[in-house]
Order: sequence, then structure tokens, then C-alpha cells
Amino acid sequence: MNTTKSDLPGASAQAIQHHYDVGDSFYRLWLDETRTYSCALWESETESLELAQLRKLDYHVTQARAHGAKRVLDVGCGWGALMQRLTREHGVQHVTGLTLSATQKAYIERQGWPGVEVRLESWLDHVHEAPYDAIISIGAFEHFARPDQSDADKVAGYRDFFRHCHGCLKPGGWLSLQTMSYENSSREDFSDFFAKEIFPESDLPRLSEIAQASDRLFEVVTLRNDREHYARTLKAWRQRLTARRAEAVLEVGEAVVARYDQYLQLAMIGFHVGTMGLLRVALRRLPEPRGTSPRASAPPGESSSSGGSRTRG
Amino acid sequence: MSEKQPRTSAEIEKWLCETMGDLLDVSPEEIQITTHFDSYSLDSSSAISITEMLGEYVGKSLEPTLLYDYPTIQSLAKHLTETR
Repeated sequence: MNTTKSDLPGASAQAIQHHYDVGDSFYRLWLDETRTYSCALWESETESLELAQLRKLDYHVTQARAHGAKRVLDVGCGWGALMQRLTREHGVQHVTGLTLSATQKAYIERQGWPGVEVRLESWLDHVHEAPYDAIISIGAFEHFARPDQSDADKVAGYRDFFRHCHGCLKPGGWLSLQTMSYENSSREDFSDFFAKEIFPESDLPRLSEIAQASDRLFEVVTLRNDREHYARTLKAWRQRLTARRAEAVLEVGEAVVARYDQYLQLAMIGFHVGTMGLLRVALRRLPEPRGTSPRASAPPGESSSSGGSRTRG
Repeated sequence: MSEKQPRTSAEIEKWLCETMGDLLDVSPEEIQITTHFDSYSLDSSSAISITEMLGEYVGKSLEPTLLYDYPTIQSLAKHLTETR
């Protein structure tokens, strides 16, 4: 299986599959009905995980101004919950989802959702047929850098992503981004367990790096750090995994279940104490960006009139 | 897990001193009940292990974040005996 044609700045397809291709049935045991594998957006003490996940999806639709749009890009589409929500509830005509997980792609294609297209490719390899009205990326940015990269290379890779999004978006388009982040910590504070067992080849961004990488391509309009929302989401996942532990062990074995249980607990602590953050960022495409970076190459499919290739001296 | 007989605050404090002593390879007498857990350089994996064992000791399921909300042996034992 060859899923990456370009030299991705972040985690490889194999590294992504290490985490996400454990098995659909395993995740189904402890994720909510929408199979959303990212931080929810909670409002009340008593609401269900599924309701909080749907609120999170709708939040990003609102932030990206995607309601009623013709074309939307979902970078890191997971099992397609957002794509389904966009087309079914928000009147979006066509959604393109990108994933590096073969099992996620196969799952989405089996659903036969109208207006939904899923591609097994990275954002770097994605060539858009027509500009998008909006881009949403939830829980993918965490994989856009590797722990062995220098800070400069890391930001350059992020900037390639923002430049690519800029080139894919219509004038006035919005990007809504959700990602975990380093907060009161650095990459050295995290154990080998995270780096090797959970998210190989992946490194979290800092807020300052996102700001730096998107500078003069997008303007940050809304920013939230909802780290306590992630602690609560992880708690809900762990309660569900614990309740169905015997089934989970039958699906993937004791070692994998123990690895996930440890991950959920460590992450819960990280978000609770603030070593990690959960950023939700709404960015508006700048019409005439003045940002140039010699290290950031023009992405494929970027038209000559797009911001990504326009420079001012 | 069933709570056969409630542990007293003193029992929990003694148990935590012994358990942390074992973990850090020091005598239980060297563990102070009013000293912040951070001072013992406990990492989050160790905090998870202690919380799991503590849950078995007191007979209830405990959240992995508990040691961060009650960051000394004294405050943790007090919380566990007051919330029964």
C-alpha cells in the first residue's frame, strides 16, 4: 500500500496507521455513535458524549462558515462524522475528506453517503479540482510534525500546510482548526511511551508556532483553549472502554487495551494539569498575503492567482 | 471492588508512605505527608500506578488526576475519608 507520494513533513502513513488501524470494531466499543475521535465540546454536566461531539462538529461548521456551502475540505476526516454532518444537516453539496488510514477510507466508502468523497492521501498530495468554500481540520494537525525536526523545520512544515490551505480556499474562505498543543511543557517533558507507543513520528504544535506559520496567510479570528473539555472527553472514553474491556481484549488483545488505557489516563492528566492544551482556531484567508518563505514550496494544484504563489517584495 | 471496612485517614497516610517509599526505594519514614508529590519527582505514569493501587486499597475506583488535585499525602487521605 502506497499512500504518500510526497515527502510529508509530519508523520508517515505507516505511523498514522499504527494508531488508527487497530480496528474499527475496537474504536466502536468506546467512541460515541458518531465515532468521533477528538475532543468534544461540552456545555452541561449531564449531557451525553455524543451530544457534545455533535456540538463540536457544529461549532467548526459555524467557525468555518461552511453551512450551506458548495464545497468543503475535511483534512483528517477520520470515520467521516463531520462529512456526514456537513452534507446531512448543513446543506453542503460536496465534501472531500482526506485520510491516511485505509480502514477509515474503506469504512466511509461503505456508508455510501451522498456528496461525500474520501481520498487516501495527505494534504500535501491533494490537488483540488475547484476551490473550496471552507476547510475544517480536526485532530490532524498533531501529525504534521515529527519529534526529530528542528523548530525551524517544524514551523516550515506547518507553513506549507497553511499555504496549501490558502491556495485551496476561495477568497474570503475560512479554516477552522482543532489540535492538541504543548502548553506548560515541551516535547522533552513527554515520555517515550507517547512518542513510540501511541503517536509515532508525531509532535504537537505550540500556539506560537501556529501563529508564526499562518502569519500573513490567514488572520486568527477566534481562539479557544478547551483543555478541560479534552480531560472530560478522555474520561468518558475511558469509562466506556472500562465497561467493555472484556470485548475489547477479545478484539485486539490485552496488550493493546492496556496501551490505550494508559494513554487515556496520561492524556487526561496532561489536559487536566495544563501541560497540554486543546486549541480551536478559526482563521480567515487573507486576500493578498504578504507572507513569503523560501523554505515553503508552492503546493501542487495551487493556481497562479492563489495567495500561495503571490508575493510582494 | 467492595468496601469492606472504611480505611481511616491514618491508615491511608501510612499506606501511601509505604507505597511511595517502595516506589522511590527509600524508607517510609523519609516520605512526608505534607510534602507536595512533585517534590518526589513522581512522573505521571507513577501517579497512575499509585492511584490504581490506592483504589484497590480503599475499595473504590479513583480518577488518574486525583494526585494532582490533592497533591500531598495528607490532603489526599483527608479527601478520601471525607468523600465516602
